[in-house]
Amino acid sequence: MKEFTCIVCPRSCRVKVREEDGELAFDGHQCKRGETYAREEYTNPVRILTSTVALSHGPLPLLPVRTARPVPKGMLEKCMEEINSVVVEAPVRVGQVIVRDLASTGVDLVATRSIGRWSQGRC
Amino acid sequence: MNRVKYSMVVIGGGPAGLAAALEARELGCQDVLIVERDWELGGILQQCIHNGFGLHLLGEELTGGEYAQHFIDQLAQTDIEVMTDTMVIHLAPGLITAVNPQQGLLEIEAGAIVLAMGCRERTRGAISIPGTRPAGVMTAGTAQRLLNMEGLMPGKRIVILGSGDIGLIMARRLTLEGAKVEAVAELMPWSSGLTRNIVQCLDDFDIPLLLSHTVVAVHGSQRLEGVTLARVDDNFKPIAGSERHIPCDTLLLSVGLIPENELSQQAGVELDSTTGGPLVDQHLQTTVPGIFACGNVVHVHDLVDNVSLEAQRAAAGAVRWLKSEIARQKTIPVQAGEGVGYVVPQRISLPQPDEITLLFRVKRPMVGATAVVTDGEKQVASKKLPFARPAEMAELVLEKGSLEGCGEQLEVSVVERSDSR
Repeated sequence: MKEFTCIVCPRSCRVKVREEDGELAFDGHQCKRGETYAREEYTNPVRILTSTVALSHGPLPLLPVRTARPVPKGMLEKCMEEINSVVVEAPVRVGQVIVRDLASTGVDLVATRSIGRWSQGRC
Repeated sequence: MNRVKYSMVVIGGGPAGLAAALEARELGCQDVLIVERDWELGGILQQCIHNGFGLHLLGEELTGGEYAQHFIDQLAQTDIEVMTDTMVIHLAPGLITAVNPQQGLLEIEAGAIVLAMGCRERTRGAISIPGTRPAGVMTAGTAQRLLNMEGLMPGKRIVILGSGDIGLIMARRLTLEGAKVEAVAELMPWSSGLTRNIVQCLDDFDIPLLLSHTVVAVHGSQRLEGVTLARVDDNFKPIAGSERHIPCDTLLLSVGLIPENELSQQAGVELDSTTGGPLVDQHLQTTVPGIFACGNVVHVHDLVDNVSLEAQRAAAGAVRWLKSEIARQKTIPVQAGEGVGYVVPQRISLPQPDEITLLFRVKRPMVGATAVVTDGEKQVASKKLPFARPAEMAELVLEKGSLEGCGEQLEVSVVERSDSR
């Protein structure tokens, strides 16, 4: 049995999920959205991952990035490993693809800010 | 000394300042200047690399940087002037004194001034944590800037005091970067963070949230070596015998924010002792004519969308004031009644030609509550609040004309249905 706090509305229902004869049984939710949420969290939880990659020739040493779409929660660590190996060169435009198919998830990693090219860093 | 003149000057280039300047230009103000002390626009949004911004206003979930970029890109399409690396050192009605490396000392005459300086974090000194003074004790926002913008890891073993959203976000961020977050301790019996953040930042990584707990001692001489946590009673006093020692090299504080109003006070702007921000009316005009204020400098918001909307209202107020279109026959106070921590605006200028948005916070979590606005005798407006939490700002709109013939003061109170207690 697993228990999830539904985050769809402020009611914050605690939804219990049990597997009975190969079927999922839900308990504790007060509306259909709670069941949908708990089913997704139980079978295939996904998250948007936000982080930073190393930036060269920019005013800052880092460029903030995100996955363009949610990735499986279990893949976050693998994604972070690949993100930590990337160095990108300024200038960069917001939305620019930094890594295609991040950690074989089928999801791209994109820049979340624009940043110009600087001859000397600021910090 | 350099002396320049603008119809409107906005102090601060974060989300409030950006939205205020854009709205003022949109409403026809010809010359608008933003004065920003950092080297770039965007304010604190630039270090908020997590997503969740803009859902209400822009209809999509953006990161802090993306949200800022949206406004910065719009600004680039206008003739709004921006001075970065420029620090305002003195403020008087209609006159700003500032310095920057290019122009040195600078006097800026302003028809109207919009305060958008934001807020700063409460520190260890503000909450009086006992113990030694080692390195490794810092605010969550400092850690966020170090980690997300400067590429510095604040520590490896972390305890976080306070369950505000920045603390929760940093728990996840530090974990993803390889640190071990031992616990998040919260003094109150409920978290001041959003449920989504508790689920996705703590539960996802099995980080314990210790409610009704606080730090009673800090250990270490050069570097932090550990903290002692204790459970607190209903009066927030540590319970003897409940202490436990947690070894750690970093203690992050996420214990509240304080509006930054040193400049406002210089100009004679009267502050609200509860919010820590200027007393404003529905136009976001302060007690000093021609000085307006918006965003976290007025009161600490939980959603940036609300900051942008408030900034637009302040800009509209300032533009109307410049055109002498604000009639102020009298001003009545708006008070926080039962169950309400504070209300913004704190006063309403009459007559009331438009609808008025009242923003307020409840004092404790409530289910099935109703917010009621009265003028001492009769009810002026009401709204159901199915799930009210102190962490989430509530809103109530007074319709156009709803204050006609009302009394000398308004009061907002929130009461729970008796059957839901």
